[in-house]
Amino acid sequence: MLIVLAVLSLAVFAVPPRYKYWFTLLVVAAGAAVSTALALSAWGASAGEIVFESGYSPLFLFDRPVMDGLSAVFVIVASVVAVSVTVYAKDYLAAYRESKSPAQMSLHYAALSLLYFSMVFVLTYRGGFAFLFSWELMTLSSFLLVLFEGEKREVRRAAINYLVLMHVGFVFLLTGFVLGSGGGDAAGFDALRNYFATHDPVPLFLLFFAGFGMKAGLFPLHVWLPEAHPAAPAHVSALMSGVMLKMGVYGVMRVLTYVEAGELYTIGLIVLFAGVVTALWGIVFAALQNDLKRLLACSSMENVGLIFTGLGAGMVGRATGNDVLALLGTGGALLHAVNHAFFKSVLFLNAGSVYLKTHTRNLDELGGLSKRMPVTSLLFLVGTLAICALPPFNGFVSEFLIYAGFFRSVAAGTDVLLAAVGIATLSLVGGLVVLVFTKAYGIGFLGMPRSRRAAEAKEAGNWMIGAQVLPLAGILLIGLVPAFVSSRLTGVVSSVYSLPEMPAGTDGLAHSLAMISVLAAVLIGMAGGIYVWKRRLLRGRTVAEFPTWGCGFTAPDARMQYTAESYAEGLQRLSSPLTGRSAGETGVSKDEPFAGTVPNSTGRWRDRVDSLVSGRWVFLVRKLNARLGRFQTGRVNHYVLHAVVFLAAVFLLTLLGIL
Amino acid sequence: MISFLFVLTAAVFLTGIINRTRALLSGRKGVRLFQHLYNVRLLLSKGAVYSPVTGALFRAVPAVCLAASVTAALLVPMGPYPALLHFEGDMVAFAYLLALSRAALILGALDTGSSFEGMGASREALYGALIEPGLFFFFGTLALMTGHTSFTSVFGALGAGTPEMVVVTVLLAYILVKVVLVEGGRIPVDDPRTHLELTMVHEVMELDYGGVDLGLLTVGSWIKTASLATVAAGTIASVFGQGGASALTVCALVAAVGVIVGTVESFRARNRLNRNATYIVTVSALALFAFLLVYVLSLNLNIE
Repeated sequence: MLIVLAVLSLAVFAVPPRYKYWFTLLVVAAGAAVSTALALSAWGASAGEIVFESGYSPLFLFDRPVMDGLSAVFVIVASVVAVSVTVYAKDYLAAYRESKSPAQMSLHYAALSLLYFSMVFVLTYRGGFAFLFSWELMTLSSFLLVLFEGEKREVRRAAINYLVLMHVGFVFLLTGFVLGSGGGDAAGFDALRNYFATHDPVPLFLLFFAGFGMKAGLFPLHVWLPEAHPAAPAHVSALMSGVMLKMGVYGVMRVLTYVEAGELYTIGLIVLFAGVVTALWGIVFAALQNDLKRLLACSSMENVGLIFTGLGAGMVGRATGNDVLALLGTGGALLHAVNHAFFKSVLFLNAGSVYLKTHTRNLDELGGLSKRMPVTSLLFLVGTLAICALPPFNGFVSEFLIYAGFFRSVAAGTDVLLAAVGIATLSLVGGLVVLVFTKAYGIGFLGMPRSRRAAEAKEAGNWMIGAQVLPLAGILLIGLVPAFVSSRLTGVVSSVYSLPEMPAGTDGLAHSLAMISVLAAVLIGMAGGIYVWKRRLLRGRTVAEFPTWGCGFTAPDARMQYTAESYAEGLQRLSSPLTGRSAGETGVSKDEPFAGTVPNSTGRWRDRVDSLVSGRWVFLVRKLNARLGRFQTGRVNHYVLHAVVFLAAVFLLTLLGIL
Repeated sequence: MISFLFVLTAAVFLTGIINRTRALLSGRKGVRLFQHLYNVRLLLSKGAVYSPVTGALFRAVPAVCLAASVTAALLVPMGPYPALLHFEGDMVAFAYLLALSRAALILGALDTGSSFEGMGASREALYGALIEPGLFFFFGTLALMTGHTSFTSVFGALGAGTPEMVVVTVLLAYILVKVVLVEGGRIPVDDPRTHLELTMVHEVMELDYGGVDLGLLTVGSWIKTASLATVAAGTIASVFGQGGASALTVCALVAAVGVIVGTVESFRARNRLNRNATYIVTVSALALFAFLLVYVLSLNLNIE
């Protein structure tokens, strides 16, 4: 059924231009409905997983799709976000109707629905071939989506960069599956159980970790991420950042189910430390970004880092028999993956609305949007508070679970140092997220408009706002009634990783989650109450307007506001060893009497890993190419000579027994 | 319930105690002990002045700040007396509620479009991020010492142990007093009485609030400081034995926190702004040190 729909999504090319969008929406919505229903039934299934005979088709080499709790969670999240971004795309793409041909639009629509279906396939197929096929389909369709504005040079660059790195990752996965099959013909996830039982799991796991980590944006494989996300249209960034990164997380989680608990200690530590570094690196770089979508992309890295921190701690917990840490760490990581999908898609979609209405993503050209785009701003604010993990929103719940795992293992005196690393990371990152997102919201949406484009912004269309109802409902549901979702997720974790349902020491968990609801209710009630009380006090009193205090200066101006760059300046000083500044203005020289005549600084903060990974290699490859280019003379006789030399070399090597 | 009422009472008294200490140490007679209450009453009876730049968020911020502080105060026990709300992991909720009030204040400041307020907001966000690990390691140390992750059960279990543990407890209380200085915007991190906008941190973010709004924010910051002070007092009260930490002891200790803050303000100059980050990271490092110390002690190594 889903395969039929996936193939059907290609039919969008044949649909008349007026109905192309509706056709895509219909296909995605139908797919989402079907797969959500299947996921829900798998959740309720007694065996914990269901095997579909219907997906048994020659297309995927007769591999049966399997849906278990872990797949079901991700499938539901993917469906929710996919429907929401497809609805959003209507108004967003309307702006491109003039500049894009119907064929280009069809390609975009087809890629959009294929991306969704390929993700569902990635989540359900376990056989190596079917899985890798879906994985590649996912990469290709997202590549096409990123390339939507391919007429821009930086978009092409980002898309190619993305494609190349994804294929490096693909090679890791392919090698992993081939090695994991142990030479047998049944390569796939299920073959890994055998392999891990008989071999040292660490090397093979590292292969998978590199392959999946490439997709998830793990440090130092993240270099594509801050480039590709801003280059893509908003709904694509939302889908990629919200859900597609999670396919990497899912892959690692899936591989880990096959490793026996006793072998997990080293692996858990690797995952944990990769997560810690990714989270810190991501958030520091997010703080330095002035491009709204780039900032969001870097913060996705940070969230993936937190997910892996929780997951790694959970795996160490499994290895050492610390069931509380195992359940809460892994469960918190899973819940955080869900949460991040919801709030990050809301943030990206609203950033897209802002871009559409102001044509800029530069925070220093925005500002004052909370008055001009009130609903968009409010939605972005909810996303901001959720990603800062502030109560009463959902981010708080997942971080609470991970913290609870760490604190309980500290309290129990097991894995104390590991938990200390986790607590340090979580708290430092938690603090910096507040800095990053108060910057994004405060500079981008509050204050005075910093440019004419921001001053003339209009509220986003109804479809763009209405599209966010689904993820918003998720944010509020998880935030206000955490017990409802997180008990189900910990159930999934305990069944997938064969942990006890309620290990000793988690008895207070249900109570804690219920109390979080109470706390949220008290908080909201009190804030509302105080606000209403204040309004009543002010009734009948003078409520005057007076310009913002300017230290006696009476002509305040939008240019006098704090800029995005200066807001993060304190952190930038602290983190300067990690960052380097690319070419651009570095400031006003001392000889310049009027600062206003010098353009504002235009440099960008560079990622040292990026320059290390891509810069150097590209340079070397170019040099090598230039050397090899000498052989390419364009004369036939030279080419014949090359062929003869090659043959002679092969002959000699065979003769000497080397080949 | 008694704990919540205590925190509210402490919030009322603490500012008075700090002011009186400073006055006495500088040889003045000082204002009335409750002068700050009259000031707030005056503020609450006034109207409001808003900048045309600001929007609805700016008007909602005082309510959110106060509500977050009060909700955080609900979780704080007074020494061995249980808090009104308590559950495993409520320490985390406490820290995040304080973070909510900070984030709200920062956003309110940025809504005014003022460069001074942006400056203050930027500093507050950075300092808040750097002090967070300190606060969490403080919690972690308590959890390690007692085996509990809720304030109420921690302070119920925290008792006079070995001399080593007494030292650690004193160290913890010292750390938390520093946290009070940082979070409360007191000297040496921030000077609540400075008149120069360029050097303000906390005060500058409240510059554009007046009347009722300023009153709400002020009460919110009192409650925040009082909650942290009560936690500090509860920690050190455990030195006097599990049963000995009577209500009176805790009262005296909270008052002592006020006296310490006042004394520090009388004798210290504020840090240069670019030294603040180092100062705060040192507090966090100290908390990490306390954590590791307790961990090593708990391992019961026999170091000869």
